[in-house]
Amino acid sequence: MLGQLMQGFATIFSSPASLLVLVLGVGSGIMVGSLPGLTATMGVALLVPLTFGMPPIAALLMLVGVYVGAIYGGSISAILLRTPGTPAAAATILDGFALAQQGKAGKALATSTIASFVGGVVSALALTFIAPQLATFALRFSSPEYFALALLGLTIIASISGDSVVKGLIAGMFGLLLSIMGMDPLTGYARFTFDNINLLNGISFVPVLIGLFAVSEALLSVEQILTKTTVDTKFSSQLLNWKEIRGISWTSIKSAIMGTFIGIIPGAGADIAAFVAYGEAKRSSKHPEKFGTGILEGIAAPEAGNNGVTGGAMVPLLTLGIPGDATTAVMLGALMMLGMRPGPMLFKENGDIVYAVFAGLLLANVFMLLYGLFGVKLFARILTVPRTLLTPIIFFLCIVGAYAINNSMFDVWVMMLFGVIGYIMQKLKFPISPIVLALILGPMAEGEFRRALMMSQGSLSIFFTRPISAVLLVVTALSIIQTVIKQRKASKASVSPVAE
Amino acid sequence: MRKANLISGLLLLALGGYVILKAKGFPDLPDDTPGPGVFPIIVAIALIILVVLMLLENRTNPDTKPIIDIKSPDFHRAVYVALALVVYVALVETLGFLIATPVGLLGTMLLVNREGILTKVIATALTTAGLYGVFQVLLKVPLP
Repeated sequence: MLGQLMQGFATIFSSPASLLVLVLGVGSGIMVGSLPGLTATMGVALLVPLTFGMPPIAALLMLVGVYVGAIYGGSISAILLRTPGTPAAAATILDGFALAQQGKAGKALATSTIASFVGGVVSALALTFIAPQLATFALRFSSPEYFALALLGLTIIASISGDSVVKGLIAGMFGLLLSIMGMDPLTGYARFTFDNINLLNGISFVPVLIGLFAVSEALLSVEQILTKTTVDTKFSSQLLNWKEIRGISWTSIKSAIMGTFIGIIPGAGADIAAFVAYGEAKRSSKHPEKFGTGILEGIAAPEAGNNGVTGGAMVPLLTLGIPGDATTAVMLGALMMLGMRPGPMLFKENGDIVYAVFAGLLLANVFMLLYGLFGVKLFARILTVPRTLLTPIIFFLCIVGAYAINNSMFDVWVMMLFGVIGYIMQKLKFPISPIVLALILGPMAEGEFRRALMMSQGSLSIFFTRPISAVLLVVTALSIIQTVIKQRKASKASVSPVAE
Repeated sequence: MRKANLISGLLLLALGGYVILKAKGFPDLPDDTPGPGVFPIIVAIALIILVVLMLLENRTNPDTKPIIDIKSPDFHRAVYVALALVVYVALVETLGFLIATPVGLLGTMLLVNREGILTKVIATALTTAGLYGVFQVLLKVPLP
């Protein structure tokens, strides 16, 4: 395995263009992540079209770089502006902004950089060693197992639904209906195409994505665009001393491991990991009362936790074709656009690419560390670029991106339509991520369900008599029961204060 | 929010109903294997059940404020920008990228606010050149 990883490094280093793309990807990721309102998911969605002209390895390295950079970049505005650049950096505000107010923004940023690096490296190593084992196991899967897996993936919707599980599930069903559009893969029958030739192959995934994540956000941002924010870019860059590094090392490693495992669980993303890691660091601390007042561990925990998710979330993505969070869902779409089918066969058919991605993830973290330690002042300056310039540019980037996929204005109109749908959904407090998840998993769930029934001549027993499929279905059922119990507890908790 | 939930719920119910009606007309397959209409019907039924649940929950929703203040200048700005983009998309193929984009981008920036026109002109020129350079020249990805 180490040999293959080394081969991955060799692949990247033998192509200066790939290396450059990775460096640029991390830089753009930090930039996107640091700007409040531009999430890691939006960053990846916006940059997907840029990758179409690239060879697969370079394209994937770019997306990996953006993902890693964006999750880290969120901490810059969390510390300097008290506004998380991405939801994943929300927990970083607690101690990060407190430190900035004490005039120690430089220390806070350095801590965030080092902890994010630790988180990223631990999770990249975990990905390298866990993913191939899981992929080997998943090679035994056939239609019933893949159906059960897709069903399990769809239950993630409940956990990424935010406040209202019902609204999340409705969004998921809407996404499944969208995934049905186009020719039925088994019979070739045209479903809901409205006699439009552009819809025969189904609705294009990336324009929907850009519309839902980027255009809708930009429209919302236009509404608040005249609110001015001030950024102090005059902080001094400060490196941590040895004692401080030792002080955050255990917290960082522990949070990185937690983040990695949270990332592997489909549906639990970087935001959850950051809060869980912060909570655990506070719980196990000798001085929990100091958390929130501006201590370095309070930054190290959420930052190592959220970057720990990056490698973890890629485990189910690459081995099973199931995204670990919303950003990896977008990456899954990009992989499909690049002609790759994530899943166990990916390791057999495109092993060189997979190991180059593992190596790329490790390298992306090294570049992130360098950017963070030496270029953070530059990124802080980006926060001063007026939104009145940036938001219109984002719109045009979206249009160009949507067009580039198939050279089709139809895709641009689809993107615009979904931009408006996403805007209305956000106003109505419907979560958006379930649509993306359903769009990806819908065809897999339907196709494998029907193929499995063809195998069994219509008998549903095929799903329960095959051990792996049965286990996956039991896990799915448990996951649903757990979500219902959690939801009930949450609604009881929100009702009881009123009752009192 | 309550009224908006009700309207969106009714629209989604109509969507579910439409999908079921349409999918019923899809051909059946021989044997007992499900045809192209089965999955859409299952999903549409699930959608209808969930929407009914949402509407039942919504009856006691304390939030009766509208989700969009249609009189607010902030909302007007978003609508104007969206309309400007629609005009741009409709015309870009006819006018060509290098003419439509600077006009569209500068126009959108000015719709947002009128301050710093020179900065906006420079940003527009740099963005158009950047998009053209990266997509068309460097990556050979076609532009509208």
